[in-house]
Amino acid sequence: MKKKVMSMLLVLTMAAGLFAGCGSDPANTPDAGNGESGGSTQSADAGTPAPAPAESTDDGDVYTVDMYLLTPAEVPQGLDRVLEEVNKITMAELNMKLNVVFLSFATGAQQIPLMLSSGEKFDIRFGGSGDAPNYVNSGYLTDLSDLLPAVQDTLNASYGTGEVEYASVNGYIYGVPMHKDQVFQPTVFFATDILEKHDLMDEALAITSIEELDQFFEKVSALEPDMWMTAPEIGVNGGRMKTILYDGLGDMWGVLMDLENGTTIENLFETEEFYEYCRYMHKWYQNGWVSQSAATDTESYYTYIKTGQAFSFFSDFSHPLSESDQEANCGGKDLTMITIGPKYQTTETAFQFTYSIPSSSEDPEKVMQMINFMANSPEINNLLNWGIEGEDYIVTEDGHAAFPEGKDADSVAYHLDGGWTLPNQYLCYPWEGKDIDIYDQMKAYNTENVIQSVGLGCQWDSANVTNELAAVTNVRDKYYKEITTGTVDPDEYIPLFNEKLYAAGLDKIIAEKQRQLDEFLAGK
Amino acid sequence: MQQGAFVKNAPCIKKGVYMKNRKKMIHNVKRFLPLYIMTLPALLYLLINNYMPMPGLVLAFKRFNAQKGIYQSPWAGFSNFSFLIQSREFPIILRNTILYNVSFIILDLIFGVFLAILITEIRKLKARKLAQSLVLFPFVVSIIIVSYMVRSFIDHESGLLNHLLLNLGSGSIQFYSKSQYWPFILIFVHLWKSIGYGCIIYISTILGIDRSLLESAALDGASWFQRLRYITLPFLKPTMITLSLLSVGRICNSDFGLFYQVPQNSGLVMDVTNTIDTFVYRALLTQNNVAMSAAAGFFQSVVGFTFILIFNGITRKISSENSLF
Repeated sequence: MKKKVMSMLLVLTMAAGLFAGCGSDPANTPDAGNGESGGSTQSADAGTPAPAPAESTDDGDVYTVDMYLLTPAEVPQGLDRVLEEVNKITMAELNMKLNVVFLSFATGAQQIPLMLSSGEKFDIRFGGSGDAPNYVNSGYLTDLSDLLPAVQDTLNASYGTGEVEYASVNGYIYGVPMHKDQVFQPTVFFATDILEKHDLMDEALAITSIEELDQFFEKVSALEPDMWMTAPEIGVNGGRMKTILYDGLGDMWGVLMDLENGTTIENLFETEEFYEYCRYMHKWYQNGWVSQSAATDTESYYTYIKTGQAFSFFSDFSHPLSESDQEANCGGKDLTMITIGPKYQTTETAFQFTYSIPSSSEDPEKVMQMINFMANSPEINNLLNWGIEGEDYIVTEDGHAAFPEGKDADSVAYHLDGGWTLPNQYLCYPWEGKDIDIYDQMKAYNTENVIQSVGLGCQWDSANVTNELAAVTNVRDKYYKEITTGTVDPDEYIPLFNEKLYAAGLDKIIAEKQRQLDEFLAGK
Repeated sequence: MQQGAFVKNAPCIKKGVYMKNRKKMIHNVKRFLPLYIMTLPALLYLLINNYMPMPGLVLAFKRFNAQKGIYQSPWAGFSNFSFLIQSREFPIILRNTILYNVSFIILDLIFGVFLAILITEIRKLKARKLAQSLVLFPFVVSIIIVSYMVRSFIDHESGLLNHLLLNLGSGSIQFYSKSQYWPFILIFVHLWKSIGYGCIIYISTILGIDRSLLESAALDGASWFQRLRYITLPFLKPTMITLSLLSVGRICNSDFGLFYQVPQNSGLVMDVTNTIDTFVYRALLTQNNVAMSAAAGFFQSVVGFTFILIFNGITRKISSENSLF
């Protein structure tokens, strides 16, 4: 009998143990994401913010703004101390608290949609504009139209670029653009060591078009026969064609080819520009100047540059910080940047990333105040980017931020260096080694000599043609990568591609986009 | 039926039987209570994970808006299904999904049983355990790793197979752009990867057969094949039917990793590698439409359920003791 009671007890405790294991503290969920993104468990533990939402319940009047930031950099340790300092400021100025959670891009891409669809409370979403129309249609994001007037004057001033467009779909304002580069420019990066080895630097810098690039590749490939002349961008769906200027109002199904004066949406894949691009790629493919496995490769071009397999890659970014950014991406390899086209601005480039307020936010008005406040507060931006002054960084005599004596990125308690994801990086001290007026250069870069698309501010909404969109997306997956990497003969496959696209309903999509553009232009 | 009539005519007996049954039941419950408690977590898991979300199926018929919630969102009829069912690709992806699954079910069964019989014939215990583990091992390898293993064989530039072909004097083959090879590659990879799982279950069934049966049959002069034909296979039959029925229920679903990762998402072979799951993934990756994906899942479940009903019906007709319900 005793034995039976004992075994019964044992079973019960074991069952209870199981449940204890199942239960999880909801406040800890974001931490799990942090751990993944941090790359090291240590940083995850330390980088986990004290669950501020719990604190806020103590004091009913204080609203805590939960901000989820995606960061290209490693999730920094010691965020708690920094947030403590931040909260001293926000409490004094706004009677609000700020809670920041950093996620890596990969983790965020999965977690943020889940948080949105589950209605979990959070207040600031940082994200790309591609998903926005669907998020707006699904009711995930708050319309900022009524919230903006209260803060618009100070918020606009923080960009330092004059008139500011806010990201919207059908008049539903969903996003505040980031304080970062908002224009694209067809750009090529070369591996500097190869240029120097063959003394080709001057020749490289003189290149202004894809024709000249082609001739240049001819020359370099003779000198470096085993090298790929370029490594194409390989996303899940194939890369953007970065040398072609077009405005797709959000995607590539039907585009404006004449940015400044065009009003007609046409099929990008029938344009001469597309044919020309693909013919070059096909030629390069046949010559062995690009990877023969490009169409099925999933490795990023950064890897091939880093390992010395590839000589160059195309990019959209020519802004003042671009070269150092890309060098960091390529593991510190020295790169040389040239541009082969004009700067242009479309909805996509201007609203590449925005802050939005999810509809699960409990007090959007206060969140808007917080966004405005942060966009104008040098203290908060410096705190989030460089940590606490005197401990994590010092300010040099000429106004740069730098590591304290004898410290580096690993030994200071906090160092993010993820400026463009922050509320307003322009207010940070420039880091040592960067030009002191780097952020003024950035503002100028956004406004000087830019071709502005007539469709700037118009982001099309695919809600009426979801079936067609699903169909053309499947057609794209079948042909696009093979055609744009040059794997197949463009003159044979592009007509086939277009035939399948039209069969899948491309003209209906183009007509719908045209209608929305016409409406937008009429209302302008 | 007869028993029921008998009981009806004898109420006193019925009561007695009932009392006896009740006592027995209470006794049994008491006796097995610890076991019931042990199943509780699993049952709760089933309830929370499989039954509580079921009302969410209604999402497939809604135009979802998060601010209104699932149940308050406006109805959308069957419009969420049209992207899948009215698509021009639909006949192709349905064909691919079903044909691959049918061949998987048949080949899994044949090769699984075959391998299980071979393994149980190994006399040395250690060697048998090793063989079991080796067969199961591919099952636990991540499909991403498998996709690169496949690539290392058939890659155009660095693949082992292409090197071999070149050395033999014939030209290399661009596997990733030739669709005729992919049905075989996919079926081979699937078998290599998943065969161990069914195999282990068959092995345990075979090992559960009373040895004395086989020994006495051998003494009576039954050959190895006769023992296999008249003893081992009949014992395996229920397991074979159960495993096959379970896979029939997923006939409209496909192993996403196998069909998306292993062909490296190559467009030129999509006619033979696109299945319902990869189609839905491609279609909705950029759209993020939960209602449309719910509709696709709903469709797959309904088809799977119908197939289970049909095949279970057939099984019941042929050998009723082996049907699921």
